[in-house]
Amino acid sequence: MRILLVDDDQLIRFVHQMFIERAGHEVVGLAEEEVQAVGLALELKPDIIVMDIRLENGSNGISAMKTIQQTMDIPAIYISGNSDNKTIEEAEQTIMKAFLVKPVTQDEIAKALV
Amino acid sequence: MQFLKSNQFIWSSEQREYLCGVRAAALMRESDLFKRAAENKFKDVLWFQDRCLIVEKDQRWLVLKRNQETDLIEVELASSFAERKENYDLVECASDIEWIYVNQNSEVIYSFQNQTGHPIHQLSDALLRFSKQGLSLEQISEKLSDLEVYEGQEGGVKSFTYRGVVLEYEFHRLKLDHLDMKGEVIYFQLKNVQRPFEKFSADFYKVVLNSAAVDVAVFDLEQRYMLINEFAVKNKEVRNWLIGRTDFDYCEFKGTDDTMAKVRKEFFEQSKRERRMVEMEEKIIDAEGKPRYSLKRFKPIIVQDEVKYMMGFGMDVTPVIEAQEQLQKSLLEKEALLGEIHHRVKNNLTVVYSLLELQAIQEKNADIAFAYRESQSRIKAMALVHEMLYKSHSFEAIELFAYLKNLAEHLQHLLSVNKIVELKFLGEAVDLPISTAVTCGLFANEILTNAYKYAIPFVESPEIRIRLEEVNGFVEMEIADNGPGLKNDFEEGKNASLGFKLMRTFASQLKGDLEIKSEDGLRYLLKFKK
Repeated sequence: MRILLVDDDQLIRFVHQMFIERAGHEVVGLAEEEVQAVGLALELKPDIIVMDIRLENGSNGISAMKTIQQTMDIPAIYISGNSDNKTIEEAEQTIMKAFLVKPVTQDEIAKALV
Repeated sequence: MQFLKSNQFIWSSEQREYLCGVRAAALMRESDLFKRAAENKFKDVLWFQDRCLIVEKDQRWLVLKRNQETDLIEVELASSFAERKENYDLVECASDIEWIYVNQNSEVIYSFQNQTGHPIHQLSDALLRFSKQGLSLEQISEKLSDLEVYEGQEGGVKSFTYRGVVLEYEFHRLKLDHLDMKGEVIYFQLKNVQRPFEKFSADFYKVVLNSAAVDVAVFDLEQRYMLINEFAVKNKEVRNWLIGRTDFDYCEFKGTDDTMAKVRKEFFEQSKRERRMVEMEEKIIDAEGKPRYSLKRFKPIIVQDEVKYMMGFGMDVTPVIEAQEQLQKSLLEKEALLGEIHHRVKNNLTVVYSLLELQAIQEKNADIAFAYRESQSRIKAMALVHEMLYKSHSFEAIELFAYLKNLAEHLQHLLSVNKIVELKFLGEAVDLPISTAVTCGLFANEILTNAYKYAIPFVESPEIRIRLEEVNGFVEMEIADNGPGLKNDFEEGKNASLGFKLMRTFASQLKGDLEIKSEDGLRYLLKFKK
């Protein structure tokens, strides 16, 4: 599957990219904040977006997914340190395949991508 | 000297006995002296304005009498006081006179007080108290800074202030030099009482009311204004116009929304109904568009158990409210900052965790890979604390039961590759400070990773039981598996793994007792004081 990976931490992006690729998928784009994520999603049309929630410059991954999903039904796999009920409820308003709480193992990402 | 009514006083020069008051009266009635007097067996029984003065032969009695012409007190020996004199009055009859008897060494022997309930009693009490202490008049004078004993024979006027009331006394000093009755009598006569408040006129109260730096109003029971002070409404015409009108009339007059009047009415009625003071906070926007806050209070005026009027008070509390808002804002900023710190710490731990994950999945040697997993689990135990703190927005305590559940479930994913491990939780919520919770988490983590290493691979249906309870101020944490347990030849000192050593370290850090039992699996019980 073609994956767009969004996370504001470069090291996490690096590690998660490796997990995704080791699970046999392709990372077609990397983004660190909302506007960039929306632009790349519309341009690359990935199959799934692996999305962090707290992004660079105070931007928000759920908000990015809402914008993207106004145009395309690309599902999200959220990987976030924010796992409070309010955040999860908000995430559930978007098309979502999984909600993983950081830190994640390769196994968890691989299972979520199936 | 003997009196037969309430202010009785007996002074006997021979027996040196002093009695006064009701007790003296009772004694008198029962005494032979009285009986003899009543039977008129003695010559020297004198009557003064319904008072009886008895003078027994060969006994001397001190007599204090007021000269009705000069209004001065005179003293003389009763033995020489042989006939009735109409122009004298006994001191006892004068309700406004106090006196003390001082002997020739200036020692106060006794004081005598009137029974009018007048504040002058305070002075008299003081004199009596000091006299009992055996103080001389000079010493008493020093103690009562407002009271100076006039040195001249003629007497004088001195003032004494008691609870804001100014008492003016005229006092006199009389020398005694009759045989064994040497000394002097000093007596005080109240001449003037000044109560400052009595001097205030209605105008004075009006000035006070209008000078008060709070809104003051009086309402009738229909919440119509009866009185408003200048501080509440500065404009005199408006103030006068409002009398007899309500807040609703005022809103209509100004063409403004009557929400405020409705709220006030609600609190007014509550105060009236419940017969107690109620208060409310009112927010208004001033002419400059800035919010102002006023604390309003309604208080019923109850006369003869009936609410007659209602009082209203108002005070500008804007600076207080602004300070509270600033504090609240600072608190929120602090919480947000703390939240951010915990989030950052957790993120950093997440990065380390993920890097170890990368190494673990690339490692071919299973033992080394498991060592990576162990390190990951320790990091997770710490990261979980920061995650829970961030989520709860409370930075003081961690709920340990939820934390252990969370940790155990995570380790199930991290460490159990091919087997389903049944997790059983029993217990209750226990709040612990952060540092204690982290130590507990690390302790539990070592037991759980040991279970995944030494127990779960060797049983068909692996099971981990976690129990947490608070008993009499002690926390009991029990973690057990259903594995093969410790080997028979296991000696903790010799064979202990790093995990075992860490467990002991954490238990000691918590100042707890750790009990390890190997029967039907391995069971760890840690008890520590909360």
